[in-house]
Amino acid sequence: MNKISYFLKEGFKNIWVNWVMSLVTISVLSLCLLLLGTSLIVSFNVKNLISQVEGTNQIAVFLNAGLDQKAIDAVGEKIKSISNVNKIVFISSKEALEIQKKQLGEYKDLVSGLENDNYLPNAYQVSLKSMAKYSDTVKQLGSIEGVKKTTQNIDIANKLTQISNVIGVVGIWLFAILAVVSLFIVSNTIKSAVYVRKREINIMKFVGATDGFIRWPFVVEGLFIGIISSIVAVGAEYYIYIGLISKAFNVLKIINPIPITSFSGYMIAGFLISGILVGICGSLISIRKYLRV
Amino acid sequence: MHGHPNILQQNRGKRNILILISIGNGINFKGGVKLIKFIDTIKIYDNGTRALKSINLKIDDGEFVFIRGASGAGKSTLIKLLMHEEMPTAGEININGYSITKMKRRDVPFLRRTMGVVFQDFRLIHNMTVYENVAFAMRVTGAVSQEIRRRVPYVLSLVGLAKKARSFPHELSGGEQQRVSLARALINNPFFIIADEPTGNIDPEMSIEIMELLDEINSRGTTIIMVTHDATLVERYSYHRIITIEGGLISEDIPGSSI
Repeated sequence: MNKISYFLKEGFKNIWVNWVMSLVTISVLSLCLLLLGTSLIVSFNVKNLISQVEGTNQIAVFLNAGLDQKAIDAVGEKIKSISNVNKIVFISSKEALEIQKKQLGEYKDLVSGLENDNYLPNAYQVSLKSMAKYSDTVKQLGSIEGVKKTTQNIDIANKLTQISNVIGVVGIWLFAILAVVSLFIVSNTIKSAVYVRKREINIMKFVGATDGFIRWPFVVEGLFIGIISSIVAVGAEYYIYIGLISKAFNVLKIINPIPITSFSGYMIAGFLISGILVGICGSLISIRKYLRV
Repeated sequence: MHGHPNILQQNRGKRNILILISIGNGINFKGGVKLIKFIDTIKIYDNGTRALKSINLKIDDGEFVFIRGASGAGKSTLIKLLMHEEMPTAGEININGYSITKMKRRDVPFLRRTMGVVFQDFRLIHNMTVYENVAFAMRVTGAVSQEIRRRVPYVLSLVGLAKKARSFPHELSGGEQQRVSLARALINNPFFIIADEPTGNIDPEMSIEIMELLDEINSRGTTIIMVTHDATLVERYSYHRIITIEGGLISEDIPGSSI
């Protein structure tokens, strides 16, 4: 207990004595966390959008005319056996006509003569599990015997998948670069704190302090820098998300932003963990060298 | 600057207490015989300087040893080896049955707790008071606050600085600062004290004061190794053992006369 309170006190003192460096470090680290968090949140939103589209995403599979019920069922079984297929609904040519009539409303007379000579094909309405395999699935559907054609909106599907991939890749790179940058800055700050106390460390060594005893106050310093930075980043992220990103999405209409409350727990935990990790690693890197006496 | 003529009297009164505490607090490094041994110790620095050329030396428990020699003779190297700051190139150093060369890195702090070190430049921490400077050395060893609060004032009174506990180093004279560092060296009840030119930065009158303190500490059983090139001081205390180092070798070893 005695030791812990000493380490905490010394750690705080380091931050305070070196307040300019501490301030710079906290700003940079929270900026890094903020950029990382924002890129993750945007990517979550796009993923969310994709899953919304996926949920309503359906392919119409039109069948050849003149198939009997047995053949129609056989095609249905084959479609079901494709792994990416989630659900299928059979729409007979009669039902298709009814749907058309409904859509035409008061102009339904236009198709009134067709009851006896229905040119509309039988069809399956197929919904998919994943947009990513959209084009493969369409190919598979097209190759089934008895299928005349399939409707495709492959462009939207491809674009959304591409966007989500790009955001994913950018996010990972951003994370890697920012992690290195913040690690560098944190370790430099602690290094200067160590330098200021070099004399003290030397004296500690010759009166018999263990490495651990010398190291702890600096680890505490890194820890506090990490915690403070993540708190700052959480606050800024709330402001940015509610104030800017949500508004922008609302203007665009097509995207429903994920409400911040649904992920704030993860966000706070993520910021805290990454902030603390960077802080502690940074301090461990910087004091290693000075302990070799 | 004024002297403290009554320090020794104060101290003598407390001798029994100190001995008692010593027994209670003693760190038993490996039991057995307490002594320091250099066996064919050679030190060549990376830049080629041959600082020590085969040193054979035995210092018994309770001895007071002067180590003298010109600058560059190898005195500092000898001390650095004892403190495990440098490793010998060849040969062996043994402290209380513990081999310095075979020692694990993580055991070094515990070796250092068995010695108290006093430097020419005092090496006090400027932004700490006298009390804190001494308490700091005790805290480092993991001592509890209660123990620290009890022992620090006692050791400060031992060196005659009880009234200066709240002063900062820059408010003290050189002699007083050296007494603070002596208090720091004593705080963990070391087996031996290494004093590296302890009087080098102090005027002669104060030097005598420091010497008297060291003598006093030695008379209570603590081994003292004092490096100095102050010939008059060695002359005055010539009843102690005097080792002369020249060009990395021991050129003279005059045994002490009293004790």
